[in-house]
Amino acid sequence: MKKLLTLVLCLAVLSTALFANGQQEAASGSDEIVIGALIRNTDEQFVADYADVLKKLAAEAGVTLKLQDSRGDMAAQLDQMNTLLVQGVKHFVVVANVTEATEDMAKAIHAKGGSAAFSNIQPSVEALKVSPNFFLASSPESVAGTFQAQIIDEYFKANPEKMANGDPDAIDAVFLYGQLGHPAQVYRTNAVKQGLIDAGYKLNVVAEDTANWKPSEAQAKMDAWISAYGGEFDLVIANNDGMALGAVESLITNGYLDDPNDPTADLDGDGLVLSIPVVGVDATQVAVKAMDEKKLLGTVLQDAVGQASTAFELAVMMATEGSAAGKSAYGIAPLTAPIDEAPANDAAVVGQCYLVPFKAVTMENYKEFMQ
Amino acid sequence: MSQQQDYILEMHNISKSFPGVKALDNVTLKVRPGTVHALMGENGAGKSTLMKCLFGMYKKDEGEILLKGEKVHFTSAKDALESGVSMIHQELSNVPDRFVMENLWLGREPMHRMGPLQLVDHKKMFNDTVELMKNLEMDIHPKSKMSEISISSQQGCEIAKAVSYNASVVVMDEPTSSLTEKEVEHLFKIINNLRDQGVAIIYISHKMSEIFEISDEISVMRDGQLVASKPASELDDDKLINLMVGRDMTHRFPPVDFNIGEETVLKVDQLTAANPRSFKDISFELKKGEILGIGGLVGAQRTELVEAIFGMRGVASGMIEVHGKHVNISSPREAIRHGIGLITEDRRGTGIFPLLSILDNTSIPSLDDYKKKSHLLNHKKIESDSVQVNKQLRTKTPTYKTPIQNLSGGNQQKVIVARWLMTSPDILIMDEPTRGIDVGAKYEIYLIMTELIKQGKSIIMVSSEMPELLGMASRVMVLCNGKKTGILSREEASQESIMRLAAQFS
Amino acid sequence: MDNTKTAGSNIPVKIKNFLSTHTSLVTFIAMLIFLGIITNGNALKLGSLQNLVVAEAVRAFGALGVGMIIITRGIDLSLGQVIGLSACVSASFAQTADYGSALYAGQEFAIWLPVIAGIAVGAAFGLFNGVLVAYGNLPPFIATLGSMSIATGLKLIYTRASTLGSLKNEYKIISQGFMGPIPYLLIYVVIAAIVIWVLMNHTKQGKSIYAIGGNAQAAKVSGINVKAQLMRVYLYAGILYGMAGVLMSARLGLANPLTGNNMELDAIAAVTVGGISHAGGVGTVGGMMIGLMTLGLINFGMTFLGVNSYYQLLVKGGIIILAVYMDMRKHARKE
Repeated sequence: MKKLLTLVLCLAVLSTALFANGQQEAASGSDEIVIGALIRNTDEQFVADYADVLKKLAAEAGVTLKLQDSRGDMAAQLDQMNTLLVQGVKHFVVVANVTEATEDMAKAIHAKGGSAAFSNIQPSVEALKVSPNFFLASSPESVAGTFQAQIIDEYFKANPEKMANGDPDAIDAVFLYGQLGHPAQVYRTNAVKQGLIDAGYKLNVVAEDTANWKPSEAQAKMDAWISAYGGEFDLVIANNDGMALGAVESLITNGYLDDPNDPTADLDGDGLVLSIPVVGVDATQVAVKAMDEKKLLGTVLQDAVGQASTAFELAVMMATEGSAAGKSAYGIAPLTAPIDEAPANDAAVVGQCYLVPFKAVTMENYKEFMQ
Repeated sequence: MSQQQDYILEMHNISKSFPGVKALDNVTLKVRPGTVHALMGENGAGKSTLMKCLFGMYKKDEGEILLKGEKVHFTSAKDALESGVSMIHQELSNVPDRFVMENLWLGREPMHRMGPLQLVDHKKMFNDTVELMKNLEMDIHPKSKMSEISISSQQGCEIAKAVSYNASVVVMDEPTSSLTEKEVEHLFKIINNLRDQGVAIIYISHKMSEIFEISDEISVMRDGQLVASKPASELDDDKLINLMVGRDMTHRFPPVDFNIGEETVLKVDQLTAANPRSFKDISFELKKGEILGIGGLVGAQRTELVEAIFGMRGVASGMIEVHGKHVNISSPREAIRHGIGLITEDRRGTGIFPLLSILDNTSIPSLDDYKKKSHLLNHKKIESDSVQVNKQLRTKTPTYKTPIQNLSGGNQQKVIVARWLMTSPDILIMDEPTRGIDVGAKYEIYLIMTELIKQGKSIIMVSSEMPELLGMASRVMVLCNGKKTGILSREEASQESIMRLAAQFS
Repeated sequence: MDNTKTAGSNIPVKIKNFLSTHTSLVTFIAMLIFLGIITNGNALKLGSLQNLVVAEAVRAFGALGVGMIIITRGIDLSLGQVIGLSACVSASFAQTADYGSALYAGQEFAIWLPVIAGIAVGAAFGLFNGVLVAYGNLPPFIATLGSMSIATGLKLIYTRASTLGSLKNEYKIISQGFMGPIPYLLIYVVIAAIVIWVLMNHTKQGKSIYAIGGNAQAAKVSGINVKAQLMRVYLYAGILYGMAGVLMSARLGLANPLTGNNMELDAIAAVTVGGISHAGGVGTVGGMMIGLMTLGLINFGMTFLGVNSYYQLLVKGGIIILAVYMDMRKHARKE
């Protein structure tokens, strides 16, 4: 029996080699361009899209891509980076788990003479200061929150009477968070709150809790809040579209409609069939369709294609030319002057920052995003 | 050996009562050093209770215990062990995956100092063990794993442990119940060795041949009393059996009219258990309308036999025929399909579902019969059928939705009987059908049994209570040590004849 | 029994015996060699082995702790979250004072404070689990499920759901330093393993721990204070988790509420593969370490070969099930 165990363990290792699809040979080839991709967690839609774009680009360009998914585990990402570095991989595109880890990652890669372009989770200023060969190719999470704030601001400017619930002088909002402590949860939340305050609103948080990115949990949470605080809030803010749509479902079943008898009627002219507006992030196709049905006020598009292409082009440039200083990638030029957001707020590293524009998806423009 | 020696252990006038039962009645037992003192008696005669009082597991109501002339009062087995009184249990209590030497010195490992640390001195532990084994002439390596040595060696280790505590009294409760003949020989060698070193051994056993081979003195208990304490040389088989039985039958049983048919409903031929320590070559036939009693002492493998027939235990060879057809029963499911039901010995452990209602407890093996076309259960029919059977058996309960654990033992047993009647078995095996239920309820169970055979069903009844076998069975098959030692007709059966067969006399 | 054999009589039999008693070690070495061959030796370079050790070091502390607990027939689900909480607490006292987002911004702490604080957190949870299991008679699964949730909650509350980064360099060096080619982490693991090995094999307490797992009743009859010993095992495990937390935060240079998630599963899997029986009373420190390195090697090897991490999960799951299956078979045969 023990022999069987040994046998099966060996088979497991053998199968490893089969799964590997011969990728390991590539590393030893001399003229081949090898790019390492350290990806946070492909369970998230954006990151999964990003990884797909990378794979497509690599295949088209004939570049060997060594893609590693850390499944949300910072320690695993570090191990994966170390393994790739030992294999001789030098140039990386990185979707880090947390900003705070980027400096150490940059130092480790720099020690082997390599480079990296960071997307989605922005690197720290210190990470970019490690060497000019480290880049920001991203639209930072916080901007998503800022865009949410803008969408909300426009809505309440146009429909001030919608602030009547609860405190009539304040925006009374309920918040549906992603997994607590997740960078997207933290940055998006902080930015939307700050954005509303900066726009001059008094913000009153009626209720806030995590729904772990899940529509079902969001719907359950919302049902509970409606029975507890029904009529006391003006607005639902969700960290992603999935939860936003869960909240929409809850509002519909609880009768928060302009016309409870006709779920397609917009009686008050605010552009929504719901009596309470909901905003999300991600611009998933389901969400855009919900906007078409006037159930969702707005969402924010993170440009996976733009971020992945920019990062990829930077990495390839580093691999082939050894420098990317001052050059454009994916048609985006490096920043020339600091902006408000870290790390692009530090003049010393602005030349390493490639900001991929992204867009607020509003009632006016959502049709552009329908596929 | 000197009979004039002082007693090492004296138990004077020990009494112990449990609610409704006087388990020990003024028992006095005296044991000399350097002797093997056999303690005998039927199941339930009070031997174990007496020993439990000695070791402080039960609190005696009256009496006192003297060890080497001094009054002692043990509160636990550990306490007794440290005073030199040790018990070798029927179920071995060792740590299976550890070495022999670690088991021997568990909790009192020899230590030595290494720098700032107090560490276990494995070398001393090893050497002490070798020494100990040498003294006892046992060939057990200190670094053998406990689980990898034979049961007799494990018992040897228990004995060695007792010796290492300088035990002056060692109690052995049925030490040979799970041993092969060769292993018994080995054990006896160890015991003789121990006796030569001046240790007193209290040897509890049912097996008369062993008793006469090993013991110097014999005490016999019956119904909580010590009826005799004599040198072994003054006793023989007949005298011993008389001392052990010596009791009248009472009118505790309903009249049974056997109307035994010609048809053989169950035939067991040369059945041998997969476990080599269990039963061997058992053959018998069960006729329609019969109650076949199975008697024997603890360790006779009666339960193992009926559980094997019911498909709960592995069978190495042999054949079972039901209604003349050869059947292959490898699980209780199949046994039930062939019309066999088993009321297990351990009602709490394997009989009732304590928290479930009487309805659920009654219907659980027959739910297949109550599936509707939709595969949902027909609860109405389950309820009406269950209630009907339980009414028939006169189960007393506030409602049929009451959890079964709220009922008395007798009523629980009725529910279990009801359960098997629901599967309409032809053969009902009842393992200790009246264990742990009071006299009145016993009568009711007996009455149910007579009704069942009137309906043409056949019953196999395993029982440790002789009167029960004599009062209820049409024939009694006696097992001893996993072997059939005889089948007695109702006329032939008597306490004496059963006891002879049960203790391997034929 | 083995003294009856004449030494050196039959070499193939000896090899066979060695193979069957050291299956996990042999398997590990075979896998190592195999990986070396298919990667032309690249996977066995010094740098690779350093990575392997560094990657598994923190888990090793968790495995030692939970390994002891499993030997007593218990289980500890709180492992990952306690390590995470300890990492967060230690990180909060190790942030550079001038880091604006630091939890205690502007405050300078001595370098020993985060270490002590982290270990104290682990010890407190260990004691809590131990009291619940030993004196509260809670099933270990339930007791530690509860403390796991408590630790998760405290982690989120304490960190205010944010990442604690920018740790001092002299703190990070604890985990990131090298003595020549040898990572500090390896040294810690070796020391910890030796200490636990001595505890388990050369002290009264170790004997008691094995006895409790093998047959608690027999242990009690032998005069062992089962409750006190059980509680101590959980306490020791907690201290090990505390150390793991400190090393984790120093290694990552940060800690956040996600730190430690799912580590309990990895650690339990590792010791299980290493032959620690969930039926209690069986297992060695060497086994724990080999199990850990086996799973570590699988992780490392698959990453090295560029296997999609989803497949890694499949292989890992299969190996764990297989290991426990073998364990159960071994026990079934004995009965």
